[in-house]
Amino acid sequence: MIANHPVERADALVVGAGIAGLQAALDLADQGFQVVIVERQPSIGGHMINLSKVFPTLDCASCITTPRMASTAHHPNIQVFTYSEVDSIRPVGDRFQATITRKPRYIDEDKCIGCKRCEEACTLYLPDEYDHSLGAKKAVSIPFTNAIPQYPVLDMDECFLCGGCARACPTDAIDYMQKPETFQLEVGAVILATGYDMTPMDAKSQYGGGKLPNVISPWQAERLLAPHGPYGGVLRPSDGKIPDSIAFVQCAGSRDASLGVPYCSRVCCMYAIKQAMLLSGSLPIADITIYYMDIRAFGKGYEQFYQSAKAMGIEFVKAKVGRIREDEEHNPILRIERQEGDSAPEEVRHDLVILSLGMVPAWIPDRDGIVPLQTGSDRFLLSPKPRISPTLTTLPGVFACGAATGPKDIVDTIVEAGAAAMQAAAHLQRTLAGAAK
Amino acid sequence: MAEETAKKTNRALEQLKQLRSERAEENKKKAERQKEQNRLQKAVLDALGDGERTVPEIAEAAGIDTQTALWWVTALRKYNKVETAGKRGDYPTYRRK
Ligand SMILES: Cc1cc2nc3c(=O)[nH]c(=O)nc-3n(C[C@H](O)[C@H](O)[C@H](O)COP(=O)(O)OP(=O)(O)OC[C@H]3O[C@@H](n4cnc5c(N)ncnc54)[C@H](O)[C@@H]3O)c2cc1C
Repeated sequence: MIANHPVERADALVVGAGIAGLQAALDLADQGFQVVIVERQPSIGGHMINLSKVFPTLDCASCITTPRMASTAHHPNIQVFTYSEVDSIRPVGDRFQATITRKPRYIDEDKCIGCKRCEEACTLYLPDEYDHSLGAKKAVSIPFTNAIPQYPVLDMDECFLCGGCARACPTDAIDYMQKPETFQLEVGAVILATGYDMTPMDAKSQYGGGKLPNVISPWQAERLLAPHGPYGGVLRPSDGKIPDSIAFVQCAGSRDASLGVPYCSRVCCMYAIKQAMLLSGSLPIADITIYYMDIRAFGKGYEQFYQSAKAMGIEFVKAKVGRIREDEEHNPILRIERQEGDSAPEEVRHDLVILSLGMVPAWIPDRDGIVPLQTGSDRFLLSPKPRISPTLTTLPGVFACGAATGPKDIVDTIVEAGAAAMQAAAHLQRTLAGAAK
Repeated sequence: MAEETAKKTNRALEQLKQLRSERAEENKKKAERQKEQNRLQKAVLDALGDGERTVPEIAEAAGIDTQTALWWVTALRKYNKVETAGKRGDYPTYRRK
């Protein structure tokens, strides 16, 4: 259920409602445990709901994620707090005391019926985070069509107080003075499913430092490819041209100690291949090139996926990309050094370039002592027994899963979420049995 | 119920009155931005006129850069004021809805 009012006690707290958090919560709730989910975004779904299709099956991401989001939101044993932050989690005996803050949407959730009239009435356009700023939203808006819950968020930092939304709202749900609400929750176990973020686009000045309009992030590429993407098709951001030559730059944020990301982000080869295949489907005559160091196609069916991409005519060039600049028409120009043969560095022009950025943890709970546990040198959550119990953390009773423990694909995320739910269930049974003695 | 609704609307309007006086300076700047947005939006819609145009054509007619023109076409498309019409060369064309 979508929760609009504080809850005092539950069996388990799941932090993060990406595919990992949804799966872990459902697995616990189906066993009869009472679960509270805290998600900091206005909607559940995490990054997966933002993707176009998923490798290696090319199933529609939203078609897989939306039913799970709906099952979670309607489960009688789950209470979902969105647009909420965990301020701290403290062990108290066998249990945990969590402090949670609900951020103000400036909407009375009890009254809002999700009719969107406020959004229609609003006149102020802002960059839309959901479309990674390629598209626009209104200053009061529901985050995206299949968002759960269907509550708008009013951006009071940007709003210029015209009052249009309040006048349009048929249920008087606009509350310009809503305040954050903090409450305490006591639980027996915690699952951290806080996922990943990406290295910023401006991290590498040699790749344009985020200033070249036609050098985009892989998340932006996902949105361009999505059926309801911002442009209604694949266009380049500088001028709306249909690109004829598109390149991917692999390891543009991973395996790079200078960025603090010496590790491989594991999924970039596969999502670049997926995006290249989808691009080639929407733009059949476009040239698509992937510049790579080596291709890591580790999962079931992944090697075949890679081979299919090659057979489709996607060009794989083993080369290091040293620099990216643009010409006067904003065409990105890549300075590449091929790793096969002994040719000299060369410059290649493309219409659109996608940087395969590195994956980093979205949340570092030991920073500022929010949760007293340890993270690894890569800052992902650390298991004391990574080989045999990857979902443990250094704090007994707190478990972790999905991209919060390290870069991983959806399949591995779901498997790990199930494992974390089992560990949490066993912990709850043990502590309940202990308390009964 | 109707009475209660009227009372609550008054509450929102009361809140607005208070916030407008508390944030007068800051709000002036924000209102300027809204004016600029209105100007850009009108320029893009005027540039489309009754015809079908590409983003570079809209940008030229509106006197703005192509990136800004695309952003506005995208925004107006999302909120049903503009639609994709067809294609000219390497560019989709747009028209008013
Ligand atoms: C461009 C791209 C394309 C991809 N394509 C594929 C694909 O085709 N197939 C595939 O298998 N994998 C793909 N992946 C990988 C896939 O996105 C991840 O495997 C998956 O999303 C991980 O899910 P998660 O729930 O662990 O993390 P996330 O999706 O990151 O979800 C974590 C959630 O936790 C929330 N959160 C974070 N911190 C807090 C906090 N402090 N409090 C409350 N909530 C918090 C976040 O807001 C988010 O909703 C792709 C990745 C990228 C970058």
